[in-house]
Amino acid sequence: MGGSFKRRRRVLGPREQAAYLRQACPWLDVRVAGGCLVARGNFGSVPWTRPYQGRIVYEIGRRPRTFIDDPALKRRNDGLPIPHVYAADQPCTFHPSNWSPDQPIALTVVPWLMTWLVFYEGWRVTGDWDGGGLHPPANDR
Amino acid sequence: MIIQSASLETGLVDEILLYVCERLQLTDTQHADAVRSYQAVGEWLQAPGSPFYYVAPTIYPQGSMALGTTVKPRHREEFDLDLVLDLAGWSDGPLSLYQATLDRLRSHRDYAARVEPLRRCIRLHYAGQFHLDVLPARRDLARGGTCIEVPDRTLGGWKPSNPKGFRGWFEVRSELRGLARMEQEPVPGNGDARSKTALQRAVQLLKRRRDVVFAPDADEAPRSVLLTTLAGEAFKGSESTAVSLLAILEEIEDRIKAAWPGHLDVANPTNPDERFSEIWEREPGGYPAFVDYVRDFRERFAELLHRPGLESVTRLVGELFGEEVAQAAARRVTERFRAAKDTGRLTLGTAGILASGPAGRQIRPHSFYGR
Repeated sequence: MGGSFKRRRRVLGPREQAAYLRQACPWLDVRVAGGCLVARGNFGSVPWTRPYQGRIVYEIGRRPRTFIDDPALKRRNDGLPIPHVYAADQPCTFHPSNWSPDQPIALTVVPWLMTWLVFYEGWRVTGDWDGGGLHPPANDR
Repeated sequence: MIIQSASLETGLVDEILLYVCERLQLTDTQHADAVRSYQAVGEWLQAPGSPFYYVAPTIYPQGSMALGTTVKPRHREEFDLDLVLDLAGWSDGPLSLYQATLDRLRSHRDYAARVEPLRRCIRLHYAGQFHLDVLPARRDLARGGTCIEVPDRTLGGWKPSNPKGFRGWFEVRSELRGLARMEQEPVPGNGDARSKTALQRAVQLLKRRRDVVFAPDADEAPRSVLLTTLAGEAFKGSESTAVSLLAILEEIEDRIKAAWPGHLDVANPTNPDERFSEIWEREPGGYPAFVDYVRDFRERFAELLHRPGLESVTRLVGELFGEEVAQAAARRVTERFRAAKDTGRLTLGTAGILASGPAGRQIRPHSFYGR
């Protein structure tokens, strides 16, 4: 405390991230091959959402990416596009400044994606995104 | 706070039903307005100069406001509220009691324009808010206790009743409190739906489903007192609204089967001579419509308990109780979830469940991003 010094931040590689994931999220299937980590499984959370099969993909030097595979994310019947996504199957669960490679994905991106799905289901029925969040500046889109 | 994961199967459904009930009942402002009007009418009926001044009037609420089961009607603004003018010493006939009450209300400058005479009661209209049904009655000395008799203008005689006893019975069934006795009894506090018992919420939902299924003021729609009595008799004391309502519907269905080919016999538990099911003898379409309502409601409500997630639960709740109340309830769920997230109360347990409380790892703050 008191800011006397900062603990040195240590980058977690895919194997260390995988170890964290297996411990904190035992229901996910975690594999590392060729420096790429893939954590597959259900990111829905009882009772707030239905089950959603998805993936988190992490390669060193890149930010983790999140995907929802089944059931596919859907627009609303009124045609409103899904808020806070990079692509139709890729929720944007965090701002680039929220995550750095010293942080365990198991304690950050996993629950962020699960939380995203709760607000997604709420948006499906009300048309309002109640989760808050930021939007990129227009020239970044 | 997010409901604890202890009741995972019914936690979300119960939370949504709670918000639906809160949305349906009198708001605090409406409740306060109704209490003020109720008190003013009571004072007018027992003031010096009133024909009831010397016959020991007691005035108390009955029906949904006394029971804490108010439900906003679907196709109009006004809630139905009832009060009883209970006279210990009325020695004249039923029609003269009715007429005396009507005259007394008409002699008031403000009430004169609000009055509408109905079969057993006198209705006072408060446009856009509620109507207050004044039910004149005399104490039933033969049956005793809190039993009363009310004038029936169509029959020209007295009808047995016991609203005060019914309220006490319902409170005991709800595991609420004992029956208070006062000269002019206060209306119970409005109480948010959270402080209500599962029985009170189940009754609100039974009434709301009835209002969704039947056309406004349809003759065959089951009366609230019938639904309330059946629910009170079947209630087993669960804390979960969803579990209670399903058990109530199953029990009513079993009783319907046992009574077949006759109809259910439903009476005021505190005055067996007040037979609520008598309406099914006068209104032949009523009983089959009631049976269909119970069966359909039980089937679809049972499905609700197996639906996973906010989206599918809200859709079915919308079909059962109305789209608008369901969406408002879903919004409150996500708002509470958001508040838990923003204050660091969301946690991740090893079963993968987001909930509140210390069991699990706290989730770090973040912002959703992207278009």
